[in-house]
Amino acid sequence: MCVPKRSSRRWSGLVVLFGVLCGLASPAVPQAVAADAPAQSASIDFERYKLDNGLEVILHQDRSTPQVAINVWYHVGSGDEVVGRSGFAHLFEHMMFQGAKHIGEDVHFDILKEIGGTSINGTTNTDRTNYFEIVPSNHLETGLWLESDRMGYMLDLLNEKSLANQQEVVRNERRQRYDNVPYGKDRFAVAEILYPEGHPYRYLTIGRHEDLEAAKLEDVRAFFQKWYVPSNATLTLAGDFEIDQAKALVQKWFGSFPALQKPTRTKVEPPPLQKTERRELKDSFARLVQVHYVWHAPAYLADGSFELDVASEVLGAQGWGRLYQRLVVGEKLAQLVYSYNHGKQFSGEFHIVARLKPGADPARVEAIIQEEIAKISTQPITEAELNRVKIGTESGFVWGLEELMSRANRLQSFNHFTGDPGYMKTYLQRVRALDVNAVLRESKNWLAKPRAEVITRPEKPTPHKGRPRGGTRKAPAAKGGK
Amino acid sequence: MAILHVRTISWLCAGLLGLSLVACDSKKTDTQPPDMVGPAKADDPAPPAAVTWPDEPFRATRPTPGPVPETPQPKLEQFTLDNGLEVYLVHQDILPTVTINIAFETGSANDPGNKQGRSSLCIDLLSEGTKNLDKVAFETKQADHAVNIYSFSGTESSSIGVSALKAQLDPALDLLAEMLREPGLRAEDLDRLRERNKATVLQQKGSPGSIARRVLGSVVWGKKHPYGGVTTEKTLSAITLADCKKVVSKLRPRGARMFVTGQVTAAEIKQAFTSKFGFWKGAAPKSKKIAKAKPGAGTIYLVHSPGAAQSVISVATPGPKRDAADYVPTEMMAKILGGSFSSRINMNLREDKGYAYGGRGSFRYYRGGSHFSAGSSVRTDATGPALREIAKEIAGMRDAPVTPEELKREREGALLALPARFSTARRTLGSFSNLVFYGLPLDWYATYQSQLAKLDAAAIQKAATDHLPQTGYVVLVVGDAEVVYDDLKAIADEKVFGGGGIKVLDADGQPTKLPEFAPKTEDQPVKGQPAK
Repeated sequence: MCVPKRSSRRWSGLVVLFGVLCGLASPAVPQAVAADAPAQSASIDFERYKLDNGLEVILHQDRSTPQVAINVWYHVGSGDEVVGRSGFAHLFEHMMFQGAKHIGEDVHFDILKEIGGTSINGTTNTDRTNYFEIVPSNHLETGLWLESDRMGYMLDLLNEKSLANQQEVVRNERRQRYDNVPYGKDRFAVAEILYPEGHPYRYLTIGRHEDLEAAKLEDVRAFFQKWYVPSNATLTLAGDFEIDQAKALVQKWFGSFPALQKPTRTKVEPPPLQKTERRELKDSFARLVQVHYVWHAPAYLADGSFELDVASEVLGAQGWGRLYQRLVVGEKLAQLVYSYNHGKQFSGEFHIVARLKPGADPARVEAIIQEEIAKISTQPITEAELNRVKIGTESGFVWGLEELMSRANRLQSFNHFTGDPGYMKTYLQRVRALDVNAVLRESKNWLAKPRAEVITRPEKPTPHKGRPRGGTRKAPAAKGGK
Repeated sequence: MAILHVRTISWLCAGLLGLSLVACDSKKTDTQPPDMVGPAKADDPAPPAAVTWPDEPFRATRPTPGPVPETPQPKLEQFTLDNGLEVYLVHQDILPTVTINIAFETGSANDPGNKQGRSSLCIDLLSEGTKNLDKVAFETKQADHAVNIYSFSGTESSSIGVSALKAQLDPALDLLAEMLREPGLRAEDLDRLRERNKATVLQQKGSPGSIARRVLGSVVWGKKHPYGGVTTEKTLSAITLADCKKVVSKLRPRGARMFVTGQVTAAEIKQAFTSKFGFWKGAAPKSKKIAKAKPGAGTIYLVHSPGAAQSVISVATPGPKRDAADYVPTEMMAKILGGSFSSRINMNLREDKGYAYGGRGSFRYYRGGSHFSAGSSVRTDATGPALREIAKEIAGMRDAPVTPEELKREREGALLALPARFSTARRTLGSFSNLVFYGLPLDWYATYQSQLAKLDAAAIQKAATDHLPQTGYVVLVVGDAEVVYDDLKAIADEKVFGGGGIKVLDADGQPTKLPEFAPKTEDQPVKGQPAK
């Protein structure tokens, strides 16, 4: 009874068997059930192959609705940036939407919109850059035309004007997401403590204004030629297609591209912090004091990362987490508190953030955080806590299978980090195998070390002294209307 | 048990009165096999400079789409429980998940003026615990079963609900029933949530984006209007535990709607509710009649945010109701003006001028009406120019028909993207619950398609002249007044949006005075800003 029926109408390419969750029908106190759980609980059917030029292709068939998610990962991110060009990987991502030889300039969204495309976008993080859209299944080839044209012919339409425009757009994005919001400075301060000058994580994926301004057309060309080669990309198609037909179409649009050297990525491990470093920031948009502690942590999926995932939940889970109980419910000192472990390609970060109630004593909040860190690094968590995290993780994977695009990204992510798109199975086995002693060991390994402490305090903005801040008085002349 | 309707909602192509729809034309394709081009060898990578990319002729032509695929018709089951709760169910058997959302027609629109924030605060309080389970115990119990029980309140709708894996549905419903039967409603939880909401308000007043979201409704609808209320520390302080008990006690089943999706059948739902929710009886709250918004007076409202790197700008006007006869042309008009990346406002402010990361415009619908709002977060020095561009784009919609390309893009795009609204059971249910919310018939999507198929540029232009007035907009600017004031003054003097002048507001939307600024000196380039 634990095995759900497959779609009565059409096979969805998903297998979901109950693992841990099956054993949890109605226990008053959850017991460790990982040991006798079946080996597989949730998986996504897929087929992976490579074109002769090195382009990787992952196909996941789901014929339940007439749509295909097209999702391309280029294995390059802001972690591959060089000094003086922070923010470039993301700026480059914007340029990929500006046009390519055969599709024309700045019409990517228009074309997709007209054919009923949805979920159209691209994103960049430290580790990879992805581009995606969902198209009606009869328009799969149009989607492949668009993706292949920018993979092959993006430089043909590259021009100064569109680069200058996107530099301004990205700087506006930075203003909107970092410069004009409360606690935006905090994120830069954390990175500056953790990563020394020269480390590609130092200025975040969004980058510095001056570096964004400094980008040149030659940078775009060189970045494209080095990183955007077919052998450094993975194309995932998820949805309603005939496998053979999809393969033929992929071959048609990408198969004749040249085989070019896959670039090598240089892993840059940050040096450990020698001592705890503290920054106090004034923030004119903030109205509440924020305490933010960050430790270096293992890279994504590296040894120790699963244990720290558990520790972050035990500390920061909304409702039952230890810090939530003490700071939000118990002493009512915090407006919010959360904790997360964020593994990236080269290394990871373990975060605790508390935003204080007006008038609450920051010293008391910090003392409580320090007590809980000391406790989790010296005493094992309870079996009940561990199980709560395990079933939450497993359940989260099941919910994550609902949308076609999240399945495509799931396959891509595991493929990118492990070389196995089907790593979900191993991932869940690793979750189930966790025990309280391992969580203790890794908490001690990582959280007993020096950390970054960034304290943000509200600042009463000072009156301007004679000249406007934040903008020149005269707007630049409009470049001519459409 | 009351009547059970199982209906297949006919909404796409087949069976639609033989309408000839753009989306339904099975465009004949040449089904010749794709060109097979000999791949380059993997073992002879050339240096980048020498690389030649193939440029086969087929790349120059946009591929012809295949025949429009058959789309499964969404199945919606409707039935009423003995207690009068109206159930809408979309079954799926692919994933072992279940979501249940019970919606009541009450929300902040029902808050008294001196107790703005009551509905939200009191309905949040409901899911803080039960008589026997305090906050932490209640949350822990949910986490032990990986289920999520929630309650929240919006403007005109309040919801309680649960999401759970199928295997945990039973304990999940037990907890939901316990919450309804014996809610905790503790004074200490109310105080904690009240302090949380007050601190939220305090923080919102520091952030330009939050200020704009908080104040816009009050300047468009008026502070006394049910859609225009502003929650402040003072209104939150006035809310009592007795108020909350009263709000919560109104959440009764008869006439409320329950939206269910997942690996669950009507029989299972009926059985579970009969056995677990027998105590739950009585009539649900009825939505109230809402007065129309008054037309705007062409006023620019300015909230000073010192040192802001961008201004958050909105240009707004009251709009038609969701069930208006010209909804489709109105919606397509708004989409061309500001509905997507490809829209005129975004292409102008972002892709042409580089003023912003993006700009959009759309109608926000309520049960009792709507307002149109076009807006963006623009570089501070571009505040005035961006407002003038938005004014131009609005005038452009009124003054000339949209281009054939725009019409085609939005009309065909809307038709062809319809299956995306029904691609999962949850999305399907969301599409239907949206219709239910506005009191529209469940076969509305069929009407939508036939209207889209007939839509022309003249109808879109008529919607623009009917719903985007020539003048009399409400403009809200949250930004650095010291930098933007002169430009706004010029716009007000020229009556670009109407003759209402400039009114300065504080972060609560209350009238205030413009701060005194130090005398200005020569313009200088400023760090973080373009030297153009």
